[in-house]
Amino acid sequence: MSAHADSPPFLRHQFDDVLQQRTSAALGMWAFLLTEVMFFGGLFTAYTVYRYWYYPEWDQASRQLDVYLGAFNTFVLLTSSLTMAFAVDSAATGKQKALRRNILLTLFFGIVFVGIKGIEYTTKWEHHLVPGSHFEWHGMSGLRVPAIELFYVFYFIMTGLHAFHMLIGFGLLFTLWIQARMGKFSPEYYTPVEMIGLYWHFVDIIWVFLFPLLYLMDRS
Amino acid sequence: MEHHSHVKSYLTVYAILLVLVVLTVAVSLVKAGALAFPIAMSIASIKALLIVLIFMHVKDETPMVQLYAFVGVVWLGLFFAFTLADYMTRNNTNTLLPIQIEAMEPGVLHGEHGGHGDATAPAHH
Repeated sequence: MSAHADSPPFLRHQFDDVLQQRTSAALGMWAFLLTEVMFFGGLFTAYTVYRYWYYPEWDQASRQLDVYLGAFNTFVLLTSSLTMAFAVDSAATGKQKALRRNILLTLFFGIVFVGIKGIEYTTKWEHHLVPGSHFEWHGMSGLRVPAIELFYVFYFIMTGLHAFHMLIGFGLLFTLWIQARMGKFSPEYYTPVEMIGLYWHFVDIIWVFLFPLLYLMDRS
Repeated sequence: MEHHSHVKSYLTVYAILLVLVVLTVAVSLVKAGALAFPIAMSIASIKALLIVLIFMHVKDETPMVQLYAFVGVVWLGLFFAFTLADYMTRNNTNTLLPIQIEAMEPGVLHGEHGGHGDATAPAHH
């Protein structure tokens, strides 16, 4: 494109200028996040209906989850969101070393989160609370056990899909780190850091709702 | 795309988010009754709003991106409103305690009336 001969190397030829390219990326990313809202929205709606139907069972099932590990993980994930926000800030202000460090810190907190989730899953398996033929209920009697099992179906599917999003995030962060090392980002161009930041914060928001819904139904 | 640093506002938001985590756990520990659920969801919504506006920069975005973010909330609201308007107004026995079902239809929970003893096959009325 001869008309763009003097344009920066990161400007794709289909865009008029850098600002248009950046705005298009942001709009596209938000469109993707809207499909994610629909994806998780179905689960949250189904959760609400069953919680209403089987409240006594879901209340007792919720009390079996480890509220301290859940709260600690919330803290870990919010911290990873902070370092992700710092990473975008470092890129925007041209601090290359801080950018690489903040990407690695975000990745580290993300791995801690999934590690703790793994510990929780292991405990649930040992306590026979994983749905299936292995499932047993030794808590309060007089409850509809299949309804308790249903709570754990929701627990594993919702936290499992969330953890799967985290794993995808690990790959994205690692790619960002490699690109940052190659010197791909500058205050003029750091759109990929921003867009992966949006994804990471979105996954954080999902957990912000999962934590009270699954762990904190009623602890009194 | 101004390049001044946001570090201070990020730290403020982070501090508020941590206070809200402690607050939501504290509320779940006290007997708040019917208010517990709305309070927990309000705290989570405030946290989500802070993350969207500050960490995700929607506060400083173009009106088009702000519209997209807002539409997500509207869509979720419609989905919840129309789904729950159905389920919450059905006169079904799933909301009853086992002891109440037993009083209305003796033996139904133990499969003596054709095996409808589990929660996945609720008693018909």
